Amino acid sequence: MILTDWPQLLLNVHPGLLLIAGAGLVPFARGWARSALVLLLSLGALYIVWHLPTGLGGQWRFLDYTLTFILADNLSRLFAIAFALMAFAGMLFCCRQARSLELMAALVYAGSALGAVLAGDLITLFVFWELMAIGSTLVIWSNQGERAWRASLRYLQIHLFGGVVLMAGIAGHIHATGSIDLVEMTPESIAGWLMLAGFLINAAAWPLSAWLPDAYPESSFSGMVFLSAFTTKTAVYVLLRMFPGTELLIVIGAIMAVYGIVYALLENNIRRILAYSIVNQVGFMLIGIGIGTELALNGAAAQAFVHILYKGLLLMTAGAVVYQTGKYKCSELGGLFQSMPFTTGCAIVGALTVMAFPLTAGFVTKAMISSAAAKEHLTWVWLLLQAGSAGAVLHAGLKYPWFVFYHNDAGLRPAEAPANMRLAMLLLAFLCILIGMAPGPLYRLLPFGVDYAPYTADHVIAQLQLLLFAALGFFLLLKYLQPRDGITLDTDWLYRHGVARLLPSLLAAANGISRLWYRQLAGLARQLQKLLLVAGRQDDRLANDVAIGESVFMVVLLLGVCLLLYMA
Amino acid sequence: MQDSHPLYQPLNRRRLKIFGIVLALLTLAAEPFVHRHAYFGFADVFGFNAAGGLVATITLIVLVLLLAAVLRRPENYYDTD
Repeated sequence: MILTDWPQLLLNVHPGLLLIAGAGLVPFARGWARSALVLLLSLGALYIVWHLPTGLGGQWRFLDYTLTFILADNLSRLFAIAFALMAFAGMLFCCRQARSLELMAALVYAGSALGAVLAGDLITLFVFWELMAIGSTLVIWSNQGERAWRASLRYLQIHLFGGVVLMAGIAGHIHATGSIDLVEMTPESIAGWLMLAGFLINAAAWPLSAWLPDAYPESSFSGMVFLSAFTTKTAVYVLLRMFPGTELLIVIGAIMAVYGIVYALLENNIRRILAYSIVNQVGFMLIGIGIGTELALNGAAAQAFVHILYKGLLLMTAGAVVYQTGKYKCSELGGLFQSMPFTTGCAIVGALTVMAFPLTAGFVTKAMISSAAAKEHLTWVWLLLQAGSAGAVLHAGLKYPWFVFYHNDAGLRPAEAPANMRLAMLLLAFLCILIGMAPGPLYRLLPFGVDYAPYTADHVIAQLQLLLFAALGFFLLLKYLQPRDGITLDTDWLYRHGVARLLPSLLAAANGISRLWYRQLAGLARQLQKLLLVAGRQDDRLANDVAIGESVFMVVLLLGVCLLLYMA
Repeated sequence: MQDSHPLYQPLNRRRLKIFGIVLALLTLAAEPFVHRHAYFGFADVFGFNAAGGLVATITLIVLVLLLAAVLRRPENYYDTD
């Protein structure tokens, strides 16, 4: 019975919880059994989300609320499919090479991301949201070493802070409305603003974006493949669901789009280039959400879906390079196409997709956002999106593959990546091309009906002009883009360096102010004491029982004032 | 390091450059034969996207060079304290 009905039984399991529970089995498996286990778990999750019926499921009464573990509609299903697909591709990429701790952490991370996008209420969302922070921290942490450890702590601090902000917002919202439903809202109340801020922190929105390029590249060769897929895209999902049409997101997205390009171009570390590229691409998605029309929201959702695929692909190629050479700097690489032609081919497919080159998945999705901006006559937004498309040519599109696989021959001749890694890259490269050539199935998964034809002669020629002339500019100014050792100061300077430097000065100033206040207060107390003594002599009040209570009151009052001054 | 592969030979590098430039110019040459339906009047100007791509690239790279002068620090900047 069970043998024949297992597909039906599997469909009753929460896909996220399947991965989270399955992670507990990983330490007990070795060799091929471990690989089979993680692949089957992620395939199982993909099978479940693919067959999720529309509607609510997995409801559970908790305190005075009904928690909903499954909210399946086009939007949540789209993200869940992308997450499950990426969990499978990521597991395929590293099932034989990664440490068990990383595989466990990645399963928990992917499972909690699935739980978050399928959550039907704010409390369930928050629980999976925080579990995701723990899972992702462990993914970074599983790359042993002092740098990874420190980076994971900084990452955790930011995400716990984001979690507190989000929790405060959710609590405020529930207090005000009595509802835990995931509903569309505008940031008008304090609770709304706090929730928006909590989501934006996870979306790596500027100025709190530096955690991403700081932490992700410190993970293992494979860890960043998982990290790139889930956290920022879960934030994009909740923003799509809860804050569509919030114009502030256009401004934040525009800043992220430019910031990501500029910082990626300044980088020498290949995985930091791709990390800044994530910020750049999420910026495009936020612009789409901020525009808020059906076309723009479809564009943002579709862009998130294909971004998970092509950024995963690019990070797999970068991971393969790091795994095979042990090097991660553009200045130490070059000429790898000679011994790693397969990885080079996959990197080129990923690069073409990130550039939105015709016949790739990027072309059929990114243009939806710029068309939406044009239809709404948002001139400067449209111009910025065009400039951003040209900018994408520069970093992930050209700089990464050019300096790593061609440019100057560094003399490295590593072998191709192992078979499982190549298979994972092939899968994602195939999907990038397939979606680009036949976007229909993806369009059918989008939250709103799609009436959009990407392949018009006008659009293809315009895009080719933009990309090819941007590439021309890149090669004209190539000598100014030579990678050099060093780092670029980002907003994380404030909490990594600035606070440490400014804190002693701030404390000294606060100390001086409190001493001044203390002297004034002591003078006041002496005056008060004199008055009381005079009063005591006049009518002997200080000898009465009542005066003890008054004295205690005065002492408590003074101590309270001192405490307040000290805390200030 | 020796650049042994044919793609590193100066002649082939030059050929690659010429190929890229010709490809870019071909997209310009194709524009008059395509029915344009730009949403903005200024985007209908011949070669708008080509010029936009080039100008955006150069602007971004100039911005990068300016920021590099201000924000670049040694690799061990955060490890020194």
